[in-house]
Amino acid sequence: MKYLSSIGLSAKDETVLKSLIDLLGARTSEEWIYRDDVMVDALLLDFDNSEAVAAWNTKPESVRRNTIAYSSEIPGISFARRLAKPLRAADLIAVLKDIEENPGKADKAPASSTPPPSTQAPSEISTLAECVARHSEGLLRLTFGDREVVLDRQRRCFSTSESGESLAALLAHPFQEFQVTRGADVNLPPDGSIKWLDQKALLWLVGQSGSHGRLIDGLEQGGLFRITRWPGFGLVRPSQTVLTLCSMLTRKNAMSIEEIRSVSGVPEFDIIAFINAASLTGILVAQSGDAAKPDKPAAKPELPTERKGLFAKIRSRLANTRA
Amino acid sequence: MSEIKVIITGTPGAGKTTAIAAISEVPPVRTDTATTDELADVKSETTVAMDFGELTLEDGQKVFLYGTPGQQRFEFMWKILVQGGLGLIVLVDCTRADPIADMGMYLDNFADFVAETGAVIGLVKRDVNDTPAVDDFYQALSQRGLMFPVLEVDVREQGDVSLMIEALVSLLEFA
Ligand SMILES: Nc1nc2c(ncn2[C@@H]2O[C@H](COP(=O)(O)OP(=O)(O)OP(=O)(O)O)[C@@H](O)[C@H]2O)c(=O)[nH]1
Ligand SMILES: [Mg+2]
Repeated sequence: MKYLSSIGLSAKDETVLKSLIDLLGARTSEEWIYRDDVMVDALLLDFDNSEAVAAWNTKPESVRRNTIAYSSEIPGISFARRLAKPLRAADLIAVLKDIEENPGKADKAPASSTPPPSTQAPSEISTLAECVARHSEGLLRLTFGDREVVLDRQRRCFSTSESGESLAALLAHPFQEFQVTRGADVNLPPDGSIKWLDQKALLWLVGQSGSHGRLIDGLEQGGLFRITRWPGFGLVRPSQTVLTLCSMLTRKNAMSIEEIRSVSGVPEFDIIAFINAASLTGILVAQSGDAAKPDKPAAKPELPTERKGLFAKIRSRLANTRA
Repeated sequence: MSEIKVIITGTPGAGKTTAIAAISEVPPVRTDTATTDELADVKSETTVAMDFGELTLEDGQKVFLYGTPGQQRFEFMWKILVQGGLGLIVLVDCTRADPIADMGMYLDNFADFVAETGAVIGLVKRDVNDTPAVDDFYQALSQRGLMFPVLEVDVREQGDVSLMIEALVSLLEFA
């Protein structure tokens, strides 16, 4: 049993929130109940209500933990959890599930009630994807024992001791296990002795392997996503999951992580890896989750079971042909 | 059980026969013949009817791979060939003068079929010539209101041919 409360919501939003919570039923792992008289597991804060934000700032950490910033703009990036207005069941479910799975994910107090995102102190770098996303200029060397990757942002290329699958495996190690060197501290052997490759192949793999279920800063958990083209896969043959996500995200209408998950059955962890990879390689279009969503296109008609079965059989037959 | 087929098209020499040979369980039924006309300078053999290959699924059902004859004078066959097809693979030979126009020509020729199903664009011989940029192909597609995967492939590699078919299946199921 988990409890949720709110601060500063309009009467209408509060009613909507309570009825959504009542309707959640089995769609979250735990049962959620709206209560404001007990110690809660999640707190929805109306980030557009400056009095509410001020009041929230005076509360003890135990109360503020697992706060969800609820706003019609992109709320301060210091919040690990955000919901866009208006409230939607899918977004709420996604964020509550995230709280169930990662309680106490770090939040920092916002400096003011309406901070422009860029002035926010950036949060700790916790994944390789985040590290590379923030390193937009100059050299970056990642060392792991005697294995390494050097990224040259200026020249848009990289070099590595690894090849294909072994590079993907290397990049999957927790970020803290890498030794990171930046800029002038990176000593390169004389030019000509290194083989440089297009950085896109590395950026794609960094997103795929180095995301650990966390979106890169600036991408909203409740946002809508699509891609402008299929990625160039480069060094590693794409999995079936990746091909599925490519197809779904090239649809005309952007989709939320929750929609992608419910239509494709792909776990959120893999969807986030894909979105990060697309962002790093410059093919992602992200919209705020509350952006006026065009009238929901008529849901794609379900394929007949027979056809789905045929596709599954073709995939399984072709899986054997992969070297 | 109706026949499941994937159609592979592209200019003469793009690699349709090669692609089918790379993945088919049976040696492709070659209908190649010695080239006699202007193509003779480029290639000694060309496909005059169609290439044919097959894959057997776990329950015994077959997927047939048909390669269209590349030369435009066999165009009359294309419409018959595609009836009931699952989707189209267009191989674009990047050593030719205007690969984007080649792609456009096949998308026009198969416009009805492609609209009903979907297509995968395979860019071949990128080792010889890696222009135009992949983005330029996407732009040409988007001008036609289309969004299909454009994949750089080597059709001599079974895995690359497999990837094109897998991408086609994903497209049909999820796009
Ligand atoms: N260098 C290079 N050669 C390739 C590549 N892919 C295919 N080829 C060669 O290109 C040629 C393709 O020939 P075919 O497979 O007969 O072409 P086709 O499309 O069946 O031609 P038609 O039957 O005349 O329409 C073969 O010689 C292949 O070895 C590639 O990626 N790089
Ligand atoms: Mg041929």
